[in-house]
Amino acid sequence: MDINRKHSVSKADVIFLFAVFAVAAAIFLILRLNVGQGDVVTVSYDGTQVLQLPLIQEDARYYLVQYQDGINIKDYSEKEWRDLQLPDADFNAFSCSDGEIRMLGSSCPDKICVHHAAISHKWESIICLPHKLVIEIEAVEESDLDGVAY
Amino acid sequence: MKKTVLLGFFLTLSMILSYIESVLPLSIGIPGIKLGLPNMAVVVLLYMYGAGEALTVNLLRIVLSGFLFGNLFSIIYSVSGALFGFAIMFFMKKIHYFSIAGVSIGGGVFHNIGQLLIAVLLTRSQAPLYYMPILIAAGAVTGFIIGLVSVRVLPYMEHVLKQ
Repeated sequence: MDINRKHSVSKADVIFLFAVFAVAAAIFLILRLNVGQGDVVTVSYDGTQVLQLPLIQEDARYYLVQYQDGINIKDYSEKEWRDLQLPDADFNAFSCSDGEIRMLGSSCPDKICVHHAAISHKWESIICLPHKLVIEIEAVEESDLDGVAY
Repeated sequence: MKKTVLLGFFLTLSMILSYIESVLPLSIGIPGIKLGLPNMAVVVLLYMYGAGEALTVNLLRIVLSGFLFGNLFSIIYSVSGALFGFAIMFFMKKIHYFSIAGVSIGGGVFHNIGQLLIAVLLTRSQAPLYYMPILIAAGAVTGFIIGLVSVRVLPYMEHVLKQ
């Protein structure tokens, strides 16, 4: 009796499954309903904002983040980028083109950030956990508020 | 003696599952979505023996396969997810309201929530929370699948125990 009950999917399980889906869908909808057009890209390192750039730019821009003596970010045009030699030291490289942010490369061990899909909507983010780097898309009003908070 | 052998067998099995998962290209562009194959061994052990055995094998598995196929960050991530998932599975089993599939769903969901919270702590940014809904749903689906497989495996293991 106990064995039989244990080795099947109970009604409670199914209800639980749908309840979890309902919660996920509700959070998803709340997030989606609030989504406007994002227009500012914020780059943060270890919780501190280090760079802001417009999401929509005339030409594709390429950014190289390096971590020697703190953090520094340089940006390049497409032509400059093609001739650039990637450093041996720790780095992240991302591009901003056609309203999309894409992580191009990273020296981190897991490369989760590199495999992340390109982001283009408000509140989406690409995170490189080993480097504590967060690239996220915001709307202008919001990032102003963030500025006040800091 | 038999128990030691079986636990060793489960540790080996879960390490192989870890390996399969590390080479399986299930990359859909959202970090953290995995099948959670090694969790199968945890769920089966939880019902075969109990919490202590399941947790021990799982932590050993994470550390060993972390050094073999992963890195320090994947270990931190896995441990936090595993502890969260395990805590909820332990609780859900204890209250005797859900069966294996339900318990496994809880494990999958809270595994992902745990990892997200660690990501928030490590990056000091709320940005990872945006992926909460998709990770909850994914955890429920993979947890359910793992639960269904475990349901099929357990009768055989109980047979082994009786021998």
